[in-house]
Amino acid sequence: MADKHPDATMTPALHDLILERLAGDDGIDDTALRLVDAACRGGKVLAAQLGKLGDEVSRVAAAGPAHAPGAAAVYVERLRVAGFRGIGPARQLELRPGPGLTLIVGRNGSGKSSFAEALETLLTRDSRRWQSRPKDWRDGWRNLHVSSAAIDATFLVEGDGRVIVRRRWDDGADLNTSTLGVQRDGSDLAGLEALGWARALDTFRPFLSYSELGAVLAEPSKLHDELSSILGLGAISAAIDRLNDQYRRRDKQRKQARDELAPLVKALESMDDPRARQCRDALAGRTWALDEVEAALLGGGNDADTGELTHLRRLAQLPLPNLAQLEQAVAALRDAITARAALADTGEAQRAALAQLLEHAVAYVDGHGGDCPVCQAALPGDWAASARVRLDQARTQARAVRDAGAQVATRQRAVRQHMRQPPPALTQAEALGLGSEALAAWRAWADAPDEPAALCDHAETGALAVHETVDSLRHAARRRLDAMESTWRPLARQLAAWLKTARAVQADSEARSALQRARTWLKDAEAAIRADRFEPIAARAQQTWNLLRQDSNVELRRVALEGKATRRRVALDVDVDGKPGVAVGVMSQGELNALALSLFLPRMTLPDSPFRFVVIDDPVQAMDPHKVDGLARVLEQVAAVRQVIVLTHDTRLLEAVRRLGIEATAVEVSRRAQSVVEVRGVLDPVEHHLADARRCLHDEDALGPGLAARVVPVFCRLAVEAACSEAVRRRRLGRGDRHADVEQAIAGARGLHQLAALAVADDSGDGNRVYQYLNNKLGRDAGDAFKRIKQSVHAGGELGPLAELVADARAIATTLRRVA
Amino acid sequence: MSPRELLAAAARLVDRADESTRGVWARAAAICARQALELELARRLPPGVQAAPFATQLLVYRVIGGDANAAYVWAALSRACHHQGYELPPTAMALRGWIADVDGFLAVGERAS
Repeated sequence: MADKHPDATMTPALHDLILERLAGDDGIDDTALRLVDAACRGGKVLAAQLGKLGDEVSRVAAAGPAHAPGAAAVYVERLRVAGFRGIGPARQLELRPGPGLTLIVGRNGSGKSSFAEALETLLTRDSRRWQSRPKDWRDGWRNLHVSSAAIDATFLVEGDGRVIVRRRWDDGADLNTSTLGVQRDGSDLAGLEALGWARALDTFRPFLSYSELGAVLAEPSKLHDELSSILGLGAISAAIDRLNDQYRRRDKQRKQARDELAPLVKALESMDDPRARQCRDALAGRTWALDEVEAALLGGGNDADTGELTHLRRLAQLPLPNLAQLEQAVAALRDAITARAALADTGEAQRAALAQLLEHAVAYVDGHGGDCPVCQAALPGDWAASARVRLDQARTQARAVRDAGAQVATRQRAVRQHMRQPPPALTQAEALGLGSEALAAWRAWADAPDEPAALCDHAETGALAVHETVDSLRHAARRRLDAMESTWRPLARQLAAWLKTARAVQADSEARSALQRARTWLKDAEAAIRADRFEPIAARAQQTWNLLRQDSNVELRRVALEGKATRRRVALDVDVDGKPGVAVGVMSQGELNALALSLFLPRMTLPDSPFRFVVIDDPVQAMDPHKVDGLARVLEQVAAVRQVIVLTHDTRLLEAVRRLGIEATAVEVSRRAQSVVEVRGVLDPVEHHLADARRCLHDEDALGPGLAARVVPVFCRLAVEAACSEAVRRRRLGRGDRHADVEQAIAGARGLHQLAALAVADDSGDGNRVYQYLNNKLGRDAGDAFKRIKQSVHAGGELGPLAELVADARAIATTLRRVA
Repeated sequence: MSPRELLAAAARLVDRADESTRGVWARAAAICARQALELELARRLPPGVQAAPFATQLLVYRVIGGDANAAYVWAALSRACHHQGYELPPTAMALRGWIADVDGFLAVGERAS
C-alpha cells in the first residue's frame, strides 16, 4: 500500500527522538519496540520484522539509511516574469538576498501580486492548491497582451550557489502544461526534486496571501492540517498507519475464522455425537483448544477408552456363539453320557467288591492252600486259575466304568467352555439405550445346570437365544454408528478446513497483540511529540500576536492542536478584557487576519524549512492603522532572520516602515497600458541610513557642531556598512556558502574596513584592496574619504565638512554594493 | 508640567469617560503622552538639541545608545496626535499600551538619576 502521507519518510531527527523515547520507556516490551522502530523505517522493514517475530534481532542491526536528507537553505535573488497574469512584457524584480525586509508596493491591478503568484506558480505548479482555484483563475492566468509566458527565478542555494529555475509555456498551452528547467552553473538538474524542495514546499510553504489568511480560521481542520504538517509528524502518522495495516490484515483473518466458526459451532451443538461435543467444548473458550479439535477429527481424543463411540463400536463387533461347534460339543457329551449309562447296568459296586474279594481269596489260597476257608469245602484244582481270570475281568470292567465317567466330565467342560460370562461390552448396551435382552439371555445361558444331560439341553436352547439377541444388538449398534458418521463426516471435513485457518490465526496472535501494543505506544508518543514540537510555535504565535494586537483587547492565552480525524482543530483560547473566550467568536476580521498571520509566520520561519525567503501577499488588508505599526514591527523581527518579501497595495505599511525607522527595501510597481509593468525602487537600507545622515546634517545648527560631527558620520558609516553587507551576501550566497557562515563572516568583521575588505577582496584581511578599488573607481580622494568615514566614530579624527562626508558616503556605498 | 504629570494626565483622559473631553480625549491623551516622552528625551540629550526637529533628536538618541522603542512609541503617538481626516482616532486600548511604554521609558530615566 502506498503511504498516503506526503512527508511519510521520517527525518533522522524525528526517528532518533522516537528511539530515545523507546529506550527510555520501560512500559514497552521488546517485540512491540522492534515493531515501532520497523514501522518508522517503512512498510517493507515492518513486514520483514513481522516475518521474524520472536527472532532475536538487535535494535540497531535492522537500521538502514531510510532518511531523505534535508533540503539546502535558499534565498531568492531575482524574479523575471513575462506574459503571466497582470504582467505583459518581461519584467524583472531584483531582490536583495539574505535576511531583510522588502516591500513591493503597488495599487490593486498594478501587477505586484502577479509577481507573488508567479514565484509560487514557478515552484508549485504541480501543487494540489492550484486545483482548488476557480476555473476562471486557471483559465485567465495568461496575460492578454503577450502571447508567450515565462517565469524565471534565480535562487541562492546553500552549497549549490546560483540555481536558475525556469518555467515556459508554449503559445496557447494551458497552465498545467509547462516545461520546467532547473540549472546550476549552466548544467541541467532533474527538476525541483533534485533540490529536495518538493516536500518542503508542501510543509513549509513560504507563500501566504490575504485570502488564505481570511479563510484559514474559518476551517478549523484546514488550519490544523496546515499547522500540523510543519511539525513533520506525518511520518509518525504513516508509521502508525503501517502498524494499523498489518494489524488489520491479521485481525481480518481472525474475524474471518471467528465468523466461519459460528455456523460450525451451531452444527456441533445440534449434533449428538461425542466428537461434536468434544469439539464444542474445545472451541467454547476465549482461546481455542485446537489440538483437541484435531484429536477429535483424527478419531482419537478423550473418547478412546470409555466413550460412547468405543462402546458402540465394541457392541457392533460383539462375538456370537459358535452354534456349529457348540452342537458338536453337546453331541459328544451326549455320547459320553450314553456310554456311561450302558456300563452302569452291571452294578459297579458289586463288581468292585467282587474284585476285592477275589484278590484277597487268591492271595489266601496262594499263601495257605487247603480248603475254602469260608465254606470249608475243598477247592477244585483249577480254582486258583479260574479265580485269577475272574479277577482280571472284574478289574477291566471297573476301569471301563471309571473312564466313561471321566469322559462325561471332560465333554461337559468342553460344552461349558462355550458358555462363559457375557463380554463386558455387553453390559453397556442398556446404558446406550440398546436394551438388556442380549445381556439377560447371555447371563441366563452362562448360568448352566451341573447335570450333564440338562446341560446339553440348556446349552443348545440358550445358545440360540443368545445368538439371536446379540445379533440384533450388533445390528442396532452398527446402525447407530452409521447414523453418527453420516452427520459427522461432512462437518468434520469443514472443521478440518477451518482448523487450518484457525491454526494460522493462532500462530499470529502474538504478532497481533504486539502490533496493537506498538500502535498504542506510537499514538501516545505522537501526541506527546506533537505537544512538545508545537509548543515553541505556539509561543512564537503568542509573541507575534502581542505585537500585532496593538489596540486589541484580545489576549491570546493558548494555542494547541487538538482532536483527531474530522474533529481535529486548532484550539485558540483568548481572554477578552480578562474573560476567557474563543478566538473566532470574539474577534474582528482584522484581528482574525492578524491572528492567522501570528500562526503562520512561525511556520514560515521554522529552522527546518529550507526556504529562507517568505512571500506575504497583502497582509495589511482590514487592519487598523495601529495594527499596521505592529505588523511592520513583526515583519522587522522576521526580517532579522529571513528574507521577507511583502506585497501590498496599501501604502500604510510603507509609511509605517518609514515612520518607525525600520530598515527595509521598497519597490513600487505600477502598470501602464498594454500590461507594461514598471518597477521602481523607493527605499533601501543604504538610502535609509543616508537619509538619516542628511536629516541630521540639515539640523546641524540645532545639534551644534560637536554633536552633528558625532551623529552624522554614524549614519554615513551605517550606509557604507549596509552596502558592504549586501555585496558580501550577494557574492558568498551566490556561490553557495552556508548561510550561517555568511552571516557570521559579516558579524565577525571587526570594523568597517574589514567588512569592506570582505566586500571588495572577499578577504577581511586585505584592507589595501579597499583603497585601491575605491581610488580606481572613484578617483584619488575616495580612499581618503573612506578613511574618514571609517574613523568617524573615533573622536579626534579629521572629518572635513559633514556635507562632503555624506556625499562621499553615498558614492562609496553605491560603488561598494555593486562590487560583487 | 513634569513628564510624570503629563503622563498621568494622559492616563486620566483615557480612563475617565468625562463628558467634557468628548471627541478630543484620544488625541489629547496622545499629545500629553508624547510631550512626556519628548521632555524626558530632552533631559537625556545634550543641551541645544531640543531646537532640532524631534525626528532628528530621536536619531541622535539612537546614536548615543538610547533604546529603539522610544522611536516606535514616539512615531505611533505622533500619528495619533495629528488629526487625519481619513483615519479614526486610536482606541483606549492602544493608548494605554503607548502610555505604558512611555511609563517604562520614564522609569528607566528615574532609575538612572
